[in-house]
Amino acid sequence: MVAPVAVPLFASAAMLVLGGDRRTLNAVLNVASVAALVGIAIALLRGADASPDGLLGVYRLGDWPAPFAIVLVVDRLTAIMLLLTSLLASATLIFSLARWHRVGAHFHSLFQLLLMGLNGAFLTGDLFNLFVFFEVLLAASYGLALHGSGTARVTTGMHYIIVNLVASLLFLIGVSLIYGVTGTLNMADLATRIPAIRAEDRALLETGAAVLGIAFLTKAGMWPMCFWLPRIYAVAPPPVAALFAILTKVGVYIILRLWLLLFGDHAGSSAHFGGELLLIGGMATIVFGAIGCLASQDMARLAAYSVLVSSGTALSAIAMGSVGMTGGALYYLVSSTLGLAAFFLLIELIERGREPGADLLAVTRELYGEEDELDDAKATGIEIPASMAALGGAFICCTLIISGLPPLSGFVAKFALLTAALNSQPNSIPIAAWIFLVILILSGLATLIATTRAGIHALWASPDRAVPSVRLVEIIPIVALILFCAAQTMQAGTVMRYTLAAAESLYTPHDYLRGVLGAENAPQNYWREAR
Amino acid sequence: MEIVLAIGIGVLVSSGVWLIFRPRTFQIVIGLSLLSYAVNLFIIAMGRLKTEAAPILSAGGVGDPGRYADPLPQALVLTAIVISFATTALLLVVLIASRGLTGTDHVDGRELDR
Amino acid sequence: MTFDVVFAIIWAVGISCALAAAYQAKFHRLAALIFVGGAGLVTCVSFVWLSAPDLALTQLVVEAVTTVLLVLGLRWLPKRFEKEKGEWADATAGILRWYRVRDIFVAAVAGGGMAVLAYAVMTSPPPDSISNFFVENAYTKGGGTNIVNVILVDFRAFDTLGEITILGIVGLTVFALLRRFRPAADSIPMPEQQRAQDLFDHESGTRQRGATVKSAMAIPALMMAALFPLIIMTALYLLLRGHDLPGGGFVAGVTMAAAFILQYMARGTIWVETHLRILPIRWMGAGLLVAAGVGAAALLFGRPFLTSSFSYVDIPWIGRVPAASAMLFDLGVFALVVGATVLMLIAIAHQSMRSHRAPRASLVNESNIEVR
Repeated sequence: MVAPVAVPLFASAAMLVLGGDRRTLNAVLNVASVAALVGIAIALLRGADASPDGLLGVYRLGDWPAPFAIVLVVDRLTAIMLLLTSLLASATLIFSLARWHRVGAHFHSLFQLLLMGLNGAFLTGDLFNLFVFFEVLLAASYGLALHGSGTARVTTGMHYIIVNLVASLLFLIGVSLIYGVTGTLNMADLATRIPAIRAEDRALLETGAAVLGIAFLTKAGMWPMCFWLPRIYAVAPPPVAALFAILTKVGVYIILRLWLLLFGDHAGSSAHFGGELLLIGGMATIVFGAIGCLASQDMARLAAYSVLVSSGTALSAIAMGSVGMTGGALYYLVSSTLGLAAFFLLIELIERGREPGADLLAVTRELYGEEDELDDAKATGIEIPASMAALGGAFICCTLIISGLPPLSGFVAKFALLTAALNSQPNSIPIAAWIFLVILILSGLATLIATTRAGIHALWASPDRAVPSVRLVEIIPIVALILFCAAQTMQAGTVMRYTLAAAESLYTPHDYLRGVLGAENAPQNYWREAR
Repeated sequence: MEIVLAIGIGVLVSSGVWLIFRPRTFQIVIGLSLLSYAVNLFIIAMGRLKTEAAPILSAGGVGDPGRYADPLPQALVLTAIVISFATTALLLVVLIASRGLTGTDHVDGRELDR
Repeated sequence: MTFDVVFAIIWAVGISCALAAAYQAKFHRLAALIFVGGAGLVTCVSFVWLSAPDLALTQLVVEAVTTVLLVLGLRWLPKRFEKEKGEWADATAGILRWYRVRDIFVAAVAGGGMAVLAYAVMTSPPPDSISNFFVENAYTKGGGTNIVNVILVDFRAFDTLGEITILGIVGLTVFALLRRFRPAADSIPMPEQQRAQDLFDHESGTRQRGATVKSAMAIPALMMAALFPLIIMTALYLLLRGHDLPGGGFVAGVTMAAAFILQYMARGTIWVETHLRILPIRWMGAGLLVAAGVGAAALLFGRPFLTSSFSYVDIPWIGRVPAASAMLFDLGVFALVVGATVLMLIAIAHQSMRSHRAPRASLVNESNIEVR
């Protein structure tokens, strides 16, 4: 179970020892490691589902007992996120092998370390350890976002770093405040201690949680803390941007995990702390993202705003606070992340044909590229008319997924969300659900209009454009990502059952607590009592 | 004693926050350093204050928790110091790179229009 | 805790330093840097005061290295002079004033909030904390008397593994970024002082160009060269005693890196690199491998990742010494920290060579005009 963290760590360490300049060797190591990660993630996914309580197990690092040292926990939610990460990683890695990995130094080791950070953040059951892995993934993401240098990347990268440093400081303040009040860092231990906290300390605890929440929501890209996001996503190297599609989802994941664990039904007078704000913020994010989509002139920026729409949808669905909604949100999360990643990769291919002069790579190469050999990038592509058709087809699929139209998975996801919103209470439909419904449908419409407009502009309305030279390794990952979405649609029942089961166990964390703390430490009837 | 430290943290945070709202990159680096001092002291404060009780066991054996300062926040601060050192260094280099590429030290990469 | 006048006076200094740094950061960077150092020292003293010797030690060395980094960075920033009144148009000036008022307000609220929070927690009774476990078991089960170090390399070694990874990532990023660095046009020429010194050499007629620069550094260079082995010894000492007394892999690593950077300062980049072959990236990779390898070795014995063990070993001549696998982990930390810190410092220091070299033609012309 520690493998998702240890494998990339060893892979990158080996790359450094063997010499960072041997690209082929590093690429081989990278591919092998990512393949191993996919395998491990699938095994964990199956394992978590097969175990009776949905909890595959708890890994006690250093063999120390639970609430004191760090534990890794694998349940269904973690397994889903791990699989999503490794799938995205394999797609973007294959794409980047075509040429992007040659743009700057140490691409492969940074890539592996980013995966290590992501996997660690999904696995850990300790608040401070979460901070450490957040920093690992952020540090690696700074490195990758700046990969290849260039004015635009460095300037926006600086904003990105500053925003995240401030968020990290907030994270630290929140974690330490919670420690100062409760005396523990273990998430499960925290959940059992919160109901029993002294009344006069409760305000402090909630302040800590709020500070922590601000830090996570900044990373999840919730309005109004999302101003930094579109810029950096638009200028990051495309394969990196595609991988970044999951970075906001880390924030969403943490909110989902901690909010339900610490402030679920059982948290005494702190139950559902901040739920309304989360709901309002999530919806505002959708609106902001949708308006941004409509206003975007270039495709990369459009995709970046779609990231906002996607995380806003997930956040507000989580905030609605029902098992059905959360299950739907998880389904949506998977589908939209895959779709967005495919979209980011696709954009690069399309833009390449449209404005060969403004190609960022060409600029970089001209100004700074004397150390890197990019010569064969243009030459080896095959100029076939069929590549145009493939790009067009892929573009349509991405549009369908992102805006949530049938027949692909985006539609299933939104349909599940809407049904759950309308059925959340037996007799009446709450106003929030109505607003959510309207916003969801309108945002779908907005992204549809925006992407279609961009698509027409790029693929139809420019007769004199050069046919982009696309290599097979670049189109395969896009097709693969879309196929995953298609599979997710085909197997909608199975996937949905899995996400609902994951959501169910988030709402009834008893098994989680017992798994982490051990049967003797976890209060047996604690959850039922609190009800 | 507590009040002195609390005020000290408060002033460090105020100065730091003021600086990170400034437009020059160097001011932001300075501001982040001040903020990280404040946060480190804050974490220590979360373990409550204790003087002359360094968490170093005297003769070995089982320690009595009442006699030592809380070691956990100290370990957390050590990790935090390292991380903030690393990120400060990174920010500094990005600042230098940005200055080299854009010719200005404004965070937006261009000067305000006069 | 009772009010202590000395502590209050120290903090009065600290507070003044923080405010002065905030005030000076725009036009007097070096002054601001010194004031930040002052605030850092006060933080450091507070750590000692509040029974955290490990933190004080770490803060001190990190402080030193950060200052070196920042000073190296200062070279590349544009000159800035205080603006005359009326330079901005009235409307812009109004907006700027409004921004300033708003920022002061936000800063005051943030600082006040943190102060209140800190005070509230410090004065409330402590909860039943998990750290009691660490105090009770640090020696009996962890094999070290320095509880903080045992937490870092054993109880919460996973955090430390992540932390050194971050340092490694930053080192790599710095390296990758600076390979592409081009200085801005107005910071390409040599610094004013060096030009003036060269001019002096030129006018004296008998001196070789660059002699003044060299002789200004002669005595410090001698001292730094003499310090080199001493600092390395200190670093190793800190590394070895870390498990039982304040010290540890990180402090030792930074100290070691400081030894290297002092050589760079004293002898110049070219001398050091012809005499010493430091391969920071290899150090980093090796450190990461050792730390993670020690962790993975536990898997071979059927225990979870990062499980440590310790026993006492009899070494001839020295006697019975404690040997914990956690110390090997600390060695990995040490190697990585040395590698990453040296890599960062060297990467920045190298830029000054590059700027004199890269656009050679224009530079030569420019400095010649100054000199002749």
